[in-house]
Amino acid sequence: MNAAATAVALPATGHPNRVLAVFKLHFVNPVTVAWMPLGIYGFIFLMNWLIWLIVSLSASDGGEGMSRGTTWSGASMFIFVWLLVIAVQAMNRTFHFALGFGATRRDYYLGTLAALVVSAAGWAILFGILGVIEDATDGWGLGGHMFASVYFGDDGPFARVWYVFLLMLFFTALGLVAGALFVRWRTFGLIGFFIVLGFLLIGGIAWIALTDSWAAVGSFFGTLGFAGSYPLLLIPVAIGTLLGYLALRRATARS
Amino acid sequence: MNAIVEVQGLTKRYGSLAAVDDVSFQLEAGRVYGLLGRNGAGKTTLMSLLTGQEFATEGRIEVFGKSPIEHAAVLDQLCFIRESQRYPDDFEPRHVLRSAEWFFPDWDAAFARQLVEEFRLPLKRKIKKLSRGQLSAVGVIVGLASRAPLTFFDEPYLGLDASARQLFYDRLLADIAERPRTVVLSTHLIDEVADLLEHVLVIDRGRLIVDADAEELRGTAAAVVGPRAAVDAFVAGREVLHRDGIGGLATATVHRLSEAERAEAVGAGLELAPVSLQQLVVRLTGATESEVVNR
Repeated sequence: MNAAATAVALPATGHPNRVLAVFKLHFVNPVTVAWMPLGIYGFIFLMNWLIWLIVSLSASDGGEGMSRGTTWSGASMFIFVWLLVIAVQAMNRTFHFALGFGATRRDYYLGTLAALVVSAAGWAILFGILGVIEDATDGWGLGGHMFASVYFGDDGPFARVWYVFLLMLFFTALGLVAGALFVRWRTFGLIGFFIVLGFLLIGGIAWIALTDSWAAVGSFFGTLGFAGSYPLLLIPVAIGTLLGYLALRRATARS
Repeated sequence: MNAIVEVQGLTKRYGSLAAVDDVSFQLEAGRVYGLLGRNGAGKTTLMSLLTGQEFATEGRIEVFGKSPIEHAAVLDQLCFIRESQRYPDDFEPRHVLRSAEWFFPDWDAAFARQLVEEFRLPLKRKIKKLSRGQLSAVGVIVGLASRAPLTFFDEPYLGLDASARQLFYDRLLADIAERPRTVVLSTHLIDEVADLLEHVLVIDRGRLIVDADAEELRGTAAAVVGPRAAVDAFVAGREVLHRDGIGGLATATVHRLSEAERAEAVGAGLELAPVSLQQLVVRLTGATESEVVNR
């Protein structure tokens, strides 16, 4: 039987934009993507602020020492890890669902990527605004630091937003790859991913240590400065994004 | 012929297991199909293949003239309601219905609202906390309101009570009468849907063993009842699906009985009883390996 002769052609209905549909799908329940991390973040901030208060009340030398000390605060790191988790979960939560709703893997990946980039940008901007407030209020009135920490340099608020955004993209890409590997090969995918990642890290460290190049590495980043170093994160981001797509391209909805 | 689905020599293997084994068939526009078979027969795998969620090992699938794999224009026309559909953990039914609107071009939000009302589905409760029946209702509502030209329902009413199931049949019938589309219904409750089905596909151990018009199928099988000797004499050399008997009385379910053969049976003093679709499928798929060989 001749298929071409008998097959009914595709009906001519308007096609919804599925990349946009997937994008919106990630935000349809704002509890997970916004209210929960904001709540946790607020709580962490409150805890930190209370600790600063206790320290400043009991310390004798005023706020000077604390202001210096808290620039090394790791409290803000929570949101980066959160983004990693969100990226992993985004995949695992919505892939089967979107496929069930007829999204192609390609559209799903593009929509998810767009959603993650937009959330990273949103968080980076919020981070930047809070950093400006922190500077303006002299560390929330107590000389504390959470958003204007030393890791993001002192190139001004806009540069800080850019660096934070790049670091967020890095964690997001890490989560994206891990999520895609999990969707495709379940636990084995994740274990394999971390084994390879571990070997790459150890290999890199071994290479630097054995060739006695720590000083060279230091001066490399020193020359680049924050403005030059942070964009280097885009390399692993690009690799991760590509790997994630390759893994997801042949993933199925089996659970 | 209006074939919207063309399947040729389709095989899907998981390791050494052939979940779908060299299957060929067509689906025509505007009909209601029953995809029947036992657990693990390959029904879900077959539907996953047709909707581009699984990749075929061998064979050819054309849905609306194209492979469904990664083809957005084809996938737009499909809706696949899985019995084991996973929803994002943090979703509530309202989130599912909202996003359905973005994915299905023919989505009817008013119809969906009406169905929510009728199925008494709580909209603001975590999907995880829904009862099995309510979870099925989510799928049924999406499947009906999507109005996709080709809709697959895989065991859509697990846990649904009798009135909810009746509601599903009623709404489905009324809606496809108004807006003809192709529906593939996979189910174990064959008697309940028998009147709905226009065409039946029976799959067993991955192989398609029946591909027939439902009316025709019901007409061809019969239970021959009478004295054991007479029944035995009549069925000798015929395709017997099942035998049963008490004392001197015997019943034999015979497949593919022509008009002449029916007359012959009646002439031999035997009684002919109709066989329901469910009984027929049970007989066809209930056989063990040895029975099949001896048949």
